[in-house]
Amino acid sequence: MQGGADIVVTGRVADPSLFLAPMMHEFGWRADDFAKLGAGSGLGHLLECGAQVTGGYFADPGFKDVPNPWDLAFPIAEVESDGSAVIAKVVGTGGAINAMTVKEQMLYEVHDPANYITPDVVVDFTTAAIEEAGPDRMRVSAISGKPRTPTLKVSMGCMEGFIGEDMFFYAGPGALRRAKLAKQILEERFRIVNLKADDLRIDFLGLNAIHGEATPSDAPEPYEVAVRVAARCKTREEAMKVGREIDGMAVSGVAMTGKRVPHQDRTREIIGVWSTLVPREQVPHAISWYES
Amino acid sequence: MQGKLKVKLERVAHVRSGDKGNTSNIAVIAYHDEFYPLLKEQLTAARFKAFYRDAIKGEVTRHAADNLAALNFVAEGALGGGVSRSLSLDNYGKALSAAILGFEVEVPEQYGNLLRGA
Repeated sequence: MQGGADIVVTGRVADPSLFLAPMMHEFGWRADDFAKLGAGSGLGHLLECGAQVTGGYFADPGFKDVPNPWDLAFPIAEVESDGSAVIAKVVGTGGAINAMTVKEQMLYEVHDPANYITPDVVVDFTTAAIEEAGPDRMRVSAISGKPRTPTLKVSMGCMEGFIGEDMFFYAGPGALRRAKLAKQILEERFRIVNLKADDLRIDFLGLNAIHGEATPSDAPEPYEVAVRVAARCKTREEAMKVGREIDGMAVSGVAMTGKRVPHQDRTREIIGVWSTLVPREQVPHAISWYES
Repeated sequence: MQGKLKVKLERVAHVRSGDKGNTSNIAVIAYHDEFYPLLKEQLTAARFKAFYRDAIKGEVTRHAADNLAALNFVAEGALGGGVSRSLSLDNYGKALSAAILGFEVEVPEQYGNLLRGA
């Protein structure tokens, strides 16, 4: 960046690195000044999800209200050379910046808040101080850092087979009892057609499709229910059995079954992600120039 | 003897979940510093895991961030095998944190005026 680069090519970095780099450049922080790198990466973590610190992914009416949530602003960090900053946004935009939005984003995707591992530094959020510095302005200071780990995380894509997925619908009085019979019919049908699935879910969207087994047993019965079926199989042919059996539910299933016209994207190939750590020295950096 | 109010967690704390592979983290943040010791005492890792039943297949670890008046729960095996291969509709588990808002918390009556919502 000191050479006036237009494009910076990095090694293994994480999201906050993109914010840390200009701070290091501007303030002359050394790559082994882990206290500063921790502070800078912590601020980068607050910024890396855009509006998630300015009122996005936050509003809950009556509990956590956000003004004009359809006009959210990206966050601005006014960073000082000591690694503290005021998190702000352009005046007149929607959204909110307060202690709650900052705390939520500080812990977002974090495991141990005293040891948030990035390729550059281990960030410690448990030393941080958050205080109001004006309307929609929060001062964040004293995020600290510890030496980076000797390893880097590598994520590999793995062919994980195919997912077949579709849904159909019930509404009105008795919607749930019809949905339950439909589930039973499908389970028997999958047995009859010998569906070979590594994983299978038949959920009632509107009741338990999101929280699954965490759904309270006394949850109220919904007026409308979608039966959502998904199976992960080794081959496309197996996964297609899901759509084929659900097509039959329109004419051979339960009374008053609502259904979409069959569409093409009910079977899709999936790439899973498998992660592990490797020693840093096994990841050398080199740049080759080619000109023509 | 001071009376106690039984309220849902949603009146005491706000939550946010995030994902890493097949692990979900659910941060529970007290609305007021007065509530934080109550959460620390009542919302243990074991109770958290029990509340989610089989929706969390693996271990639950609780990290306390006293400076944020927040507890961060790390739940392994909570995302149906991982974001990209999961059969979950909510692949990232972004709505998963909402379930714990139904956890019942005992609050001393003197803090009744600090409770959020109705």
